[in-house]
Amino acid sequence: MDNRQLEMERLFAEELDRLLAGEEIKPAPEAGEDVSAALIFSQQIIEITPEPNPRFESLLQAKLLSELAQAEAKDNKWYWKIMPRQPVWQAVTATVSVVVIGLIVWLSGIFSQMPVTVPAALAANAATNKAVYAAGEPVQIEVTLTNNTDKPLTLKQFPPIISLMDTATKQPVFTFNNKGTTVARILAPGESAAFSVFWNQRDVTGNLVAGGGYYIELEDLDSQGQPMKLTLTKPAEFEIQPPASDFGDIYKTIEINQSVTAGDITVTLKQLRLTDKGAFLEAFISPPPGYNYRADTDYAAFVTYYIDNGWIKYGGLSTYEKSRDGMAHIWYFNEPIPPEAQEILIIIKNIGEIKGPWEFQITLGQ
Amino acid sequence: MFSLIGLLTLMGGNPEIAGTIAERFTSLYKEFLPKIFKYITYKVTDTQTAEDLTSQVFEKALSKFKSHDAAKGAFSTWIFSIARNTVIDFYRANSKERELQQDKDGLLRQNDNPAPDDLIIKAEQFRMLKSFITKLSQLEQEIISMKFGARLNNRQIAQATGLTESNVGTIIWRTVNKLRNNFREWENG
Repeated sequence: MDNRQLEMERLFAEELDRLLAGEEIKPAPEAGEDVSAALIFSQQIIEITPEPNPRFESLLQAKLLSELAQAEAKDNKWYWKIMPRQPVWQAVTATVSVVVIGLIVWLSGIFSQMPVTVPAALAANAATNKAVYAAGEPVQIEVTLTNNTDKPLTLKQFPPIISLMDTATKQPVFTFNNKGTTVARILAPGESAAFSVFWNQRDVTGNLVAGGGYYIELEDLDSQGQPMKLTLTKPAEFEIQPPASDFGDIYKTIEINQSVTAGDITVTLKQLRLTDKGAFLEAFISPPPGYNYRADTDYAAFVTYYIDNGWIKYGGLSTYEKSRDGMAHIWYFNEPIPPEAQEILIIIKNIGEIKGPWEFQITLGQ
Repeated sequence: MFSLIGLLTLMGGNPEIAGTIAERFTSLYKEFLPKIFKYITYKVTDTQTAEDLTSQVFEKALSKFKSHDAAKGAFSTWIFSIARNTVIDFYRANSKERELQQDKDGLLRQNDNPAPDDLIIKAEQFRMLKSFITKLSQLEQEIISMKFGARLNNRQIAQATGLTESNVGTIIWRTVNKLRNNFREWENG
């Protein structure tokens, strides 16, 4: 891509963000006609995008606030009735109350013989089998929980909740939460409990996560049944390398070599290459009537496809190269084809202005 | 001391402290409802569905609002993730109806109520725009929705899609020009 193109993209991106922020802009003359035209069209998009209906907006707001108030009223416990109303005095009262209650508990020693959940006494260790992984490579996670006290220690949920966290966003990308299969477990003094899981580098939507840094968080449940983070003895961090290509790494190539003729045009599907991020489809298309490979006629072909009779997917328009004998077309489907898929139905709906369809049923045989 | 108040509030729900939660939520609601609604509008066929899904997004956000930890990420990132997942769940649940309904002219049907002429024109233009958007690749459609609907900047879009910021900029430039050409052809008859 040349510098002029990059400059136009940069100018367009800057001005578009200003437009979307509600500013009135006037593209500088050096931006050029293309950038100006794109910005004018962007302004039109902004103007025709519907705003939410004010009545819908206010009704929803009222409904949500009502739900919030009901939830708060339901949770309103008896001790708020005896608390002061001003927050500063609530703070003072709360502090004094906790100190007094803590003294009573300590002096009574009533909990000294019972198993307690004491996060600080639990040594939680999580580690991966490698520090750096290739894209898509399974990540083995070993977790060990050790009771470092001289009393029995209760884990409310074993195995604990394991969250894979994105270092950049500090948000979980995937969570192992084996609800229904976990049990409470009591660790004897000095006892350790260990288990391992494999993470396939996919997020909750089933897509491979991006390359970058990740770390592990563990959670047990507190006495109220709410998640409670466990402090790891040392951070459990690892890195995933980005795939070599933005389009993913090719892991399977299917030779198709099927031809369909409709309206004097023969389309031959040659190859389908599957990557972990999508798929490339290659085809050769015979010269349409009136074809002149030097002319500027648009022959981009639009394709849709269905995997295992699932819902329609849009493969978009092709990129193509002309020669005297015809055209080599290529599409990139930017959704991965599931490894377990059996069949794909590909329909080329049109080639430029020429209407099809050309249909192909391909066995994936995976 | 503050954390004690916070803990007791979460346990007991004091009305006065709950009032500040309502104020905070209302402020974020006013800021993000238009963006979430517009993002979803690009993804579904009609206004009623967009309103239903928008409601779902905010109900989910409200149910987890107290536990949202601002230190772990911006509210915008959080609620946008909820919106994306809500739309994905809607598609999965309605997979047979996912193929967009088109009349013989290729326009998308919408259940708009009668409106003044200028709004009718804009609604028609938006219908045509969406019909051209459906002909883009899935990635291009998602990026256009994020940009013009959710008003995300290129860095946020890059984080959400796993692309580089530079790629996002290139895709937006190319896609806007593609849509512009299609749209102008339609306008010029």
